[in-house]
Amino acid sequence: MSGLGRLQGGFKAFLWGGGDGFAESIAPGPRASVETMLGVYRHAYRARLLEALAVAFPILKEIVGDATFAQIGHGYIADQPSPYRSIRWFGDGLPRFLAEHPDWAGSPWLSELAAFEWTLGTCFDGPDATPVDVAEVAAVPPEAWPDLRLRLLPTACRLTLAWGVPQAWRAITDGAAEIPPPLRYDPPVTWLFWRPDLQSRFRSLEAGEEAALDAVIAGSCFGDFCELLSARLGPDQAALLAAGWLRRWLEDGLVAAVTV
Amino acid sequence: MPLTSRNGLPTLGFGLGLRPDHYLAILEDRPRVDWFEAITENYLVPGGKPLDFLDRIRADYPMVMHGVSLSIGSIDPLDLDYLAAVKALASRLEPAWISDHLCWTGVQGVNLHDLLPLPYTEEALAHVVERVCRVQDFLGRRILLENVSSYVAFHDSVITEWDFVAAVCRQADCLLLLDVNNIHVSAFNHGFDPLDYLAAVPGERVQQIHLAGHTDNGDHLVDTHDHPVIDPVWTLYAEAVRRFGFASTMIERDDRIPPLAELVAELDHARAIGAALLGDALLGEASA
Repeated sequence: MSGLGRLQGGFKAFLWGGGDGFAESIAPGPRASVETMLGVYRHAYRARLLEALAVAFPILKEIVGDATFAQIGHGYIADQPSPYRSIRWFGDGLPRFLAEHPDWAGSPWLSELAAFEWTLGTCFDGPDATPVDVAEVAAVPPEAWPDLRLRLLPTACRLTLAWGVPQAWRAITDGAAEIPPPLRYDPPVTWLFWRPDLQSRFRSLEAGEEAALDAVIAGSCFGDFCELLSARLGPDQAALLAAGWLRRWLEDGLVAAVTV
Repeated sequence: MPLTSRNGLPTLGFGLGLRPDHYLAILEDRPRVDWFEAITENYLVPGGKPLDFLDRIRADYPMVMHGVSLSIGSIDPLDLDYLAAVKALASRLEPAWISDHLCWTGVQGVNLHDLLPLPYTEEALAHVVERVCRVQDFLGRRILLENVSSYVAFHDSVITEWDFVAAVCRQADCLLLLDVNNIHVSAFNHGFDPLDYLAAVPGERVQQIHLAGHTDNGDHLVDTHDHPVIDPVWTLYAEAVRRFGFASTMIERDDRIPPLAELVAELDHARAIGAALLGDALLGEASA
């Protein structure tokens, strides 16, 4: 291996807490010891990554407190090297880490809160798209409605949670001083996230709405979609429900395009 | 002193690092700042508020792009996906120039998210020069490389840092982002004379100057960007301007970020130094 490669590999190993003998490649400076000066890098590495996690998971940090958050963060930093050029993406594995690590798996809402914050974050700087206006769809003649197809915003995504972490998140965001650990849902609830302008949104889905969104995403037209529902609800009820959801999706600003 | 352009690029005047804490104040107050430096990686995202603010501020101010993860000195292959993303952002932003650091930031497929020092060897020099040439070919423009603060030096080094910097600039035909605070920090930490550094720098290639504060830990300094610029750094800045003429100058602040007006006032100190050395014409021309 080249001298450059040997030094870089040794430096990386040192930053990760190993690198025995790496200090021998350092020329002593005029004042501080080699140990002190190498320590600047080792400290900065962990501090910078922990700060990136604090930016990505502010409410998790708020709820568990600085000390526990640092414990979580340092465990994750030791476990998950960053493959990313931008430190913004470093936290993408934290929900899974919290779900799988024996120290944290016993509190599954930690992983769910992390997943919730990460999903909001991906909405925050996800792809832009302008939602279609309700009036635009209202102008479509009734006979063309069965052929309507919708495309959702590129930021639209879903997350199923067994714990009430969105409520805890909301309470902390609204300034509550103390929040008890989230309550468990039975059954789990699916949440929808999207960003129609510069502000990310989220809400829980109604019963059956998730399957309806699946049909939309799969490219079903409105007629097929009503037919799907009518098998369960009958045609009148199905048309009413489908029209109601369509209106809500449009009013939410969830729909990026409508084609006939 | 020529104030209109250097190296075929515009002279932008006195700027600040663009930080999210100041987005609203910039848009509402239109502060007396000639230009902003955007951290490239902060805007390598698909959309949303970061890019929206960037576009709106860009509409009113010239900008440059400053990367932190090019990793020009790493033995890992150049990341062409990253470079393509930088190029795409440059198409959107139309920066006056693109810069990054003379260092390495990751190896063996892992990003270490720090500006790590190189050994100053012939091997490292050849490696960096070859990669700078490829990056410049890819981006279709000359880049600026910044000298970094460092806390360790390697037994392997056989060249001084300043000779290494000068050789990279000349052999790769790239430009220099001279960080005066970094020279001060490294000079203290390694025990060299900062004037030796300035004496070796290819002055005509100094396209931009960084100023910043640091943390004094007694037996070593750390480049934390969390304090105002200190007097010895202002003195070194004045010396750099005296030697190289005026190069677009800016202040970086990344922690304990004060209100924008405070940084604008600190920038006025840089303006005063420039005006004292080069005349009031500097201020008018640079802002024009």
